[in-house]
Amino acid sequence: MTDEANQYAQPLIPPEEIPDEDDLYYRIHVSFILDRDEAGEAEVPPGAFRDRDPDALTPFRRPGTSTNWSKYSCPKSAQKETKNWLVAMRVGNLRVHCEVAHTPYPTRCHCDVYGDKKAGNPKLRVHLARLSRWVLKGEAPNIS
Amino acid sequence: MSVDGVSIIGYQERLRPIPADNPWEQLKHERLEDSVQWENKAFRRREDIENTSLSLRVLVKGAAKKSDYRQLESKLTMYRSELDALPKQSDDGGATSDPATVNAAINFVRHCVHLMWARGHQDAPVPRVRPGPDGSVDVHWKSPKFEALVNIQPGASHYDFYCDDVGRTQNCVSGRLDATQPNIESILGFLLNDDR
Repeated sequence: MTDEANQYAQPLIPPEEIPDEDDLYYRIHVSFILDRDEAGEAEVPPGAFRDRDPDALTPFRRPGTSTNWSKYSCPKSAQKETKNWLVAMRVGNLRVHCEVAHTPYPTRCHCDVYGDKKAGNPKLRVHLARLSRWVLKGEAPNIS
Repeated sequence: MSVDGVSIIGYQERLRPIPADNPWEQLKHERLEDSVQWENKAFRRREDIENTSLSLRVLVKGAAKKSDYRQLESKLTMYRSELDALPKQSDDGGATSDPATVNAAINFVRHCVHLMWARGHQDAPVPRVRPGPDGSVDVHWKSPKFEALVNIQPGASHYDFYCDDVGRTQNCVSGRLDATQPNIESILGFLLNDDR
């Protein structure tokens, strides 16, 4: 086994095809939530969507936005901490704008949404925010 | 001509009024580029006197009232304080901000709103200034009829933007703005077409 392969303590789980009708959960830190929409609900901020650190230790080298697949994760476990709010995005809707892949590392439920969310692509972030719906709320945001 | 004892420089006539029924026509105006460059010079000069009284700002634009400037500055102050309260780094996925980037975003918003006022749009929509990914700042206009997002990266020489009409048609525009002299004509097409 190469040194590179040794970096990953657990064996790789074979990726699966994600059905269009499934959801991906994405955590949004409460510090991003600063506005209400027209209905008075907290608005999903486009600024909260970003790719994970490209240097992060993962066998899936392409950086993407880390999400949890609803097939293997419940909202509560996807939220992790109460300072996070949780949105769900329907996979079929996401595929209209970007690529979605099951990247089961470090957990089976992990998926990536590919597409540059950093500089150069405000477009994708606008669409991700539109496609998102809140499924779990966390700590009270600082909305004036 | 003067307002509150301050002379208004007479360049308003250089700008052809934007047609209310078709803002896109403005894009075809043969002298548009000259007008915008002229305005940008004015804005740079205004930045030099940023800490002077609001009355001095009337020097640059004759279209807006003092109260409009106060409201805009009040909003910008609120956005600045919200962003300044964020940490420079976050280990838990939280929002971060950099004072220089926030400053650039605030100045960009002033540029956009003043430009719309100069064209007679007193009710120009004021965007939100919000944390973006990786320490960047998002300038975000959102209404039921359009959405525009300009992303300002720390130290970047350009701003990336995207605008569309929220799926009403297939109209959308994206690209880059020069950070030193942002020409926002393509964004204005969406913003000024919004009858809210």
